[in-house]
Amino acid sequence: MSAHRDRAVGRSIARLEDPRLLRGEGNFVADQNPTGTLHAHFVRGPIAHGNLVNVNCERAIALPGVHAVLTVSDLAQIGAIPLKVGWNHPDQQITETELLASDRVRWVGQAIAVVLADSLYIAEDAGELVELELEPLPAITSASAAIDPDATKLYPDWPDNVLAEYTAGDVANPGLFAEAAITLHEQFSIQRLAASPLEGRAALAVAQPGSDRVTAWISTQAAHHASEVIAEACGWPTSRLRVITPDVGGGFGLKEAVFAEDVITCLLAGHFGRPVKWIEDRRENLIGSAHCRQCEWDIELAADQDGRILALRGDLLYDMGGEPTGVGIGFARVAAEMLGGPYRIESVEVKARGVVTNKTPAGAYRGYGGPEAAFAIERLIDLLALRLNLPPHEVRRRNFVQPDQFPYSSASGMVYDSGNYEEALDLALARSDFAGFERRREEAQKLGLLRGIGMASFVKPSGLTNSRIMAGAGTDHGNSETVTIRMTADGAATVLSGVSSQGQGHETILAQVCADVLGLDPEREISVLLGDSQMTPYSSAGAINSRVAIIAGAAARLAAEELRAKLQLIAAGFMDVAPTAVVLADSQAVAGGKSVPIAQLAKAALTGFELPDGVEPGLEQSATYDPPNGTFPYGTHVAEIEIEPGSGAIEIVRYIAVNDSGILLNPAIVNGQLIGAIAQGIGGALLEEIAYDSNGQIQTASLMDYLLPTACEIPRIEIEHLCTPAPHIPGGVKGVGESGILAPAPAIANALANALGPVEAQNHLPFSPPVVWEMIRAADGIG
Amino acid sequence: MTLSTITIDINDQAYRAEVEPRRLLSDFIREDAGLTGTHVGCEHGVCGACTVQLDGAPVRSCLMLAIQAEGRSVRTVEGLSDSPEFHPLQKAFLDAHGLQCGYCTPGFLMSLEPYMRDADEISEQGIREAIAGNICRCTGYQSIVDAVQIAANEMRPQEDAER
Ligand code: FES
Ligand code: FES
Repeated sequence: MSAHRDRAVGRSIARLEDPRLLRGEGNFVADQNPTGTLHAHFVRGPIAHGNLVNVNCERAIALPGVHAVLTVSDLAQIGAIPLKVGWNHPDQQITETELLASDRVRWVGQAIAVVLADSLYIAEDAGELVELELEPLPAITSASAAIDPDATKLYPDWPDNVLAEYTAGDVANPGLFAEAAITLHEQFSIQRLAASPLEGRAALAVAQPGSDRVTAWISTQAAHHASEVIAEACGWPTSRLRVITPDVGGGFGLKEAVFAEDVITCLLAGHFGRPVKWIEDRRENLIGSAHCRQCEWDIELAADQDGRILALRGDLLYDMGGEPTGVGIGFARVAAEMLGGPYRIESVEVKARGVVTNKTPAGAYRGYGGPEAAFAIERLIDLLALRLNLPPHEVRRRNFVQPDQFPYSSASGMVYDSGNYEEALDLALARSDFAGFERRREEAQKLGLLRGIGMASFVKPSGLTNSRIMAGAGTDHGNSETVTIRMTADGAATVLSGVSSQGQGHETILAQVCADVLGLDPEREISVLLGDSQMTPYSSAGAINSRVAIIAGAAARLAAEELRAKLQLIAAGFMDVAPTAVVLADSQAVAGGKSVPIAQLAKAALTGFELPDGVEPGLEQSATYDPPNGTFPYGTHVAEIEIEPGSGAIEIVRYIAVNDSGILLNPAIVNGQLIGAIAQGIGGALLEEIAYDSNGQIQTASLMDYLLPTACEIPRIEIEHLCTPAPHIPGGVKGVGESGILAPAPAIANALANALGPVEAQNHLPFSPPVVWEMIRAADGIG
Repeated sequence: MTLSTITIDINDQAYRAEVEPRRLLSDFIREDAGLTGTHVGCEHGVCGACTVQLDGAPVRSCLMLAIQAEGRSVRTVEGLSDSPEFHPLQKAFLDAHGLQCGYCTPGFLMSLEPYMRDADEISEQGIREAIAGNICRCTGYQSIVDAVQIAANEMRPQEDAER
């Protein structure tokens, strides 16, 4: 027999997805053009706030090649109902949103009408001919303006502009603040961002001839959830709609929610009996999909004279834009719950309020509340260190949850699973040569550059939590995953899972997990089918919250173990040994000195010809997994920066990232996730900002204005891993899709403070060159 | 709108179609020629996903009209390797995990191939500058830079490598 194959888990095997993508043979939604396709184009509102008096579609409909132009009342006639918000909180003002604007527009880019035409060129021409009659209203362009008692109300029948609120933790003990040796009171703000997957949103729905069924290819992170939400809004049974996720060009949370455009594409394909295709362009993506992150913190911290944090109390004002997306105020809630970060803080009380403004709705984005919280708490820790004249790592050390305190219940009710936070900190300090920094600062000074070093520690709740706990929190979906594995007569396995992949390599990692259990070659003997609401097993939530490797990975492992048990039983019969003596490896069942090819066992099981007594024919197993709790990957990152004082430009000269992600299934994929997330975090710290003028006109509707980082702004990232397996997850995985994005902004902010001395502006993202230039002047006491 | 019949040579094959003057080259490639490996990420010339080679030089096919390419020679990702084997750059992207979602990848490959052909010396800084006009939202670029370095070693003339 040839040399033994290495275990697949833990190896950076080549991704199964890559050959097709590298050849240009991927299958993205836009790549399909069925004959007879109608192309959808959405007419979007040009003003931030106003009454929609009339929509005149006559001229548009008259254009040759135009099939239909519809408004929200037309959709209602076809049977559509408003879109349900998926995560709702008590006393939330609205729990559903209209598919198209009816009597009021609330942000620039809100969809008002949909055109269907023979080509996208004609559909866009027709869109220009739709006449909108609007009566402008004053625009509310910030969350703080929205809560002014005199502010114009976006929804006249609400008492104010607050959509919903949630308080994390318990009422903080006021005595702790009154008697504390040290108190800090600080404000922080985070700018508006756009998740910006390189492929925008996209949907293609095809009516199935001879039935009322519709098959839709949608660029979404969650096929099953999309099928349920879309079918409901169409007024259809879920069984009428099959949603397939083909290759998806990035999601980053944006594609977690179901959007009205997805619903309308499916609805109209069913109604007109023709394929309907909607491909979002970049401008639409920047104005009409969802934004994220924009919020304002007001926080008080109480500590003793040794720097032990006693209490946190704060307000989080989250700018929700004109209406909620599918996740409601979920990210604001998570931000409030995670304000305590990796620290042991007895008393925490954070009130999060989601308020409506005349801007694009806020949706999910990688990190989901985590980065908002990490920015605030990690700046606070550095400010506390400054007040105490202690090194910033020392204050972190004194407050970390300790290894013997896991599982640790935080004041806001999260249960952190495992790890050693101090070890991550120490490794980051060592790798970054933190101790030797002053010498590097002096070297930079000689060149006329300002050099700074900053750190941030974090913990990121991942993999959601148990489904029953989620039900209590008000979500419309649970957290279980089912994976099915079936074998073919040649001994190869097909793994089926309802999750989709937006670049995370889910095909590859699920193959790796199953390969080891079944003794198969992950690259040649396993194929993986993902994301089909009717053909793959049920996925409750899809590829969100870094959950696929954790939850679907565990389900795949359990299914593979059940299949292995059956193969062992058959092999035991073949070799006349005990089933427990059979090991599956190198595509063989081995026991003692004997072996049988797995292909032979598979053939026996599928034909039913040579099975031992009591073994049923067939070779297919499913397993379902719902975790008892989520996981909490964590780490510490260190950023070292140089500032060019003449321009305020920041260069990140070194970036060290120490992470504990539990067991790594495929280290190259893990590193790719971390580095990609860190790059997005750096973009959010230095470059990216969705801006509006005072009338609510968006100023950043192209990639010339919304600046995504390029290869010239992102430094080489140095990654180090610790490994504390998640104790409660089969496979020990902690999830890695998001954890990298929490630390970059606060680490860079802290590095700026280190380079320039503390100024207020370091509490407000982003740090563009003009902002930094002003900071330098403020730090010098100029201007 | 008046239509004109144009022929564009793509990957050494002639594609002929009746097009409006305003038809973008990217749409011609993807829809008229059916070569969907070329992707569109912004349609305004910033992201580089639509990069193809026109007479050997990288161009953004979303910024050109199809009629401007009439009679000229276009190369897309589908034509990067003329055998069933990968081009060394594709192989290196596979080995170095130079892609995640893969949406940007064809544009990177088509930008990088001429750079590697023409550059006197392949350096990290040089690679980063060569791809400064291509946006990847997934990888943070590091694995792409690594892939190019691997490919450069692979493609170095034999005598050079042995020195
Ligand atoms: S699609 Fe052409 S540059 Fe973005
Ligand atoms: S791999 Fe997704 S944009 Fe580059």
